Amino acid sequence: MDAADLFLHGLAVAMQPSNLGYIVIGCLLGTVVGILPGLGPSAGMALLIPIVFGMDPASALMMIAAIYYGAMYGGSATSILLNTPGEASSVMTTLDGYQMARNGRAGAALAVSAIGSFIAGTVGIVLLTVLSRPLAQFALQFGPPEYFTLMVFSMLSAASLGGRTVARGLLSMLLGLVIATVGIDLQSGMPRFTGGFPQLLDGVDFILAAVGLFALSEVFVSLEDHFRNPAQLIGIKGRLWLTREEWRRSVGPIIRGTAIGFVKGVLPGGGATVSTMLSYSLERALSKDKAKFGTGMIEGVAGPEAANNSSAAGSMVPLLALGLPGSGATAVLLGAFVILGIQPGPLMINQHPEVFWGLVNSMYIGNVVLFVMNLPLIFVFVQLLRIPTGILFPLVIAIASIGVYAVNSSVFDLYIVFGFGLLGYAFRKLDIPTAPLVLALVLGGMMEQSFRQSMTISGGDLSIFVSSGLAILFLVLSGLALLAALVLPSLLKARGGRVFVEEAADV
Amino acid sequence: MALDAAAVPLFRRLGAQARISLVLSAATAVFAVGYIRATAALPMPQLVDPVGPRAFPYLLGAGLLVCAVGLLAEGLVLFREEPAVTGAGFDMADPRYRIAAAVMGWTLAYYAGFGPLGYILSTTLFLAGLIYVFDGRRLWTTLTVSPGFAVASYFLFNNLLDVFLPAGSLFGWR
Repeated sequence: MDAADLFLHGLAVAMQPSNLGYIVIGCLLGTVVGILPGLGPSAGMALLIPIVFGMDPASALMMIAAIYYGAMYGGSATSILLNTPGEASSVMTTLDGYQMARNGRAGAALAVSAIGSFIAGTVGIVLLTVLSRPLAQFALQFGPPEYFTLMVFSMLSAASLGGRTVARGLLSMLLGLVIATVGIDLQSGMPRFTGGFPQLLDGVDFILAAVGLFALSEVFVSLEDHFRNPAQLIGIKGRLWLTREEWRRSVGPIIRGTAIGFVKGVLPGGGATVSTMLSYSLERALSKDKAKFGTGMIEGVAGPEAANNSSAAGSMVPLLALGLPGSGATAVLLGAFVILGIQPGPLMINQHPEVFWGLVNSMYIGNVVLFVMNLPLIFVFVQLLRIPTGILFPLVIAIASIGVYAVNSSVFDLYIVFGFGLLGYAFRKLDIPTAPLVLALVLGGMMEQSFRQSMTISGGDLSIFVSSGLAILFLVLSGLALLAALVLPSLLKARGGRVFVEEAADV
Repeated sequence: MALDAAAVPLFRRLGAQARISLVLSAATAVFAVGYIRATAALPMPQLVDPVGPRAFPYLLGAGLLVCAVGLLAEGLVLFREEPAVTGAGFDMADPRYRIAAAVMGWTLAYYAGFGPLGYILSTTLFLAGLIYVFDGRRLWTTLTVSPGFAVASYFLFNNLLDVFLPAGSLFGWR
């Protein structure tokens, strides 16, 4: 079958009534997760993965992916109406979105967010459709040394560009890799670092780390601040649409945000958060009214929201074509693939075309569903913000506990997730990013496998990692990513942008 | 009485971020040494690939040591211009930490009771405690939401999703 036939076949898979239902449920859950303060896409997916156990892989992945991009959509409402970003990638939206709401333009802010997200999401999915297959074909040339160096590049980028400082990001990454070495060594069959606990022979499940680091620690941090500064919800005022003047001002930022977001999404490190910061900085730099940014400029909402959603589509390119996540959220998504028995990467497009093309087509459908949910139905979803957090957060822990217990029916897993919750809490207090740890935990096994396969091929000679042009390229890119992480903060500081990086790192 | 700057120990003259980096550096170095020692203690099977099960952990141990040096440099160089901490820094007397510690302790107790008390009872008690405290001590809300959620979720997962939650070993239920 040629690409067009495969695309149409995927469309037929996605359009099956049951799959349409799963897409709508995923979008609904994702929007809820995005709107509820404190729960981002990573925590939302990790919490909800257990409910797809036993489902058909294609349907399950359509639903989990819908939760991912649904959460990216939904996060803006919390930023605009509550001045509380639901996740790091919504931080920039709070700066002008909340001010627009205070100025009586909440309807316009929500509208431009939904429209920008829809346009950027659609363009991003078109590019994903076009680029994934050629990239996967190219990746078929990769051997173990190329894969190892590519994973080094991906992880180093995520670790060094995603946090407050390079060393703390690297520490998070290395701890993730260390945890990934726990369990039976696949090549020798020897147990490693299990401490005598038979429950650890299979290693540490990534869901436990994701739920503990993203969900449990978030609840701990949110509850400790519960009695301070309760956020004030601003009602939706004004028509839920844009004036002609607002349209004119939004088109450019949406186009630029889409381009920035997609490119940043494809590249590992920082994920959607960095793309929103770049978009906001660019719009401010291009504006004639720089001083008005932060007072309710629609450009400051349109650009970052477009970047946010286009980045989500862009991040699917390396995940689907190479099997390589570049952020915490896509690492959780990769974990979902693996749990469902599908290994994303170059072989998936040929071995499971119905999964790949069905998933890509489901994203077009999901994008339309989310547009409807986030404009006419936004009044309904906003009611979720009225749920008292004193009830919501305890329920999150209970739901997380059910999800964790469901994985292996093991109380021991609850203690592990509690440990990750404590670690996540400490990480937040010490300004250490959590995403590199989860990314490294998911990729650690594959990375060691590639390393040892390379060593087997070369008879233990490390020079195999500089024996091909591609491997050298990935190592050079790794060095550049580290260098950029060391130099960028100084540049941003000089341009006054450092504050954004630190604000985002704090979320 | 003003102190001579040189007489104040270096650690006290540093800002919060620099202190965090130095403490992290020391902790990372200690952990790295422990991890390398544990790696060295791994048995080496006869028939295995050229590098064996120790090579990758050794690489990670070395990486952790490099990271410890990076954190040290970060603390002494990157944050050198940061103003010194004037208060006590991390203060356990801060009510926020006590709230967090109490929630963590309550969560740990919940997990300890998960198997013996069963899902419904342990979840009801866990939710009731937190909701009563964090939702303005509203007894009616606490008494409806806590058991309501526990019972509804138990039947949803046990009967519809085939996720069998513990019934309570203390009462002889499985």
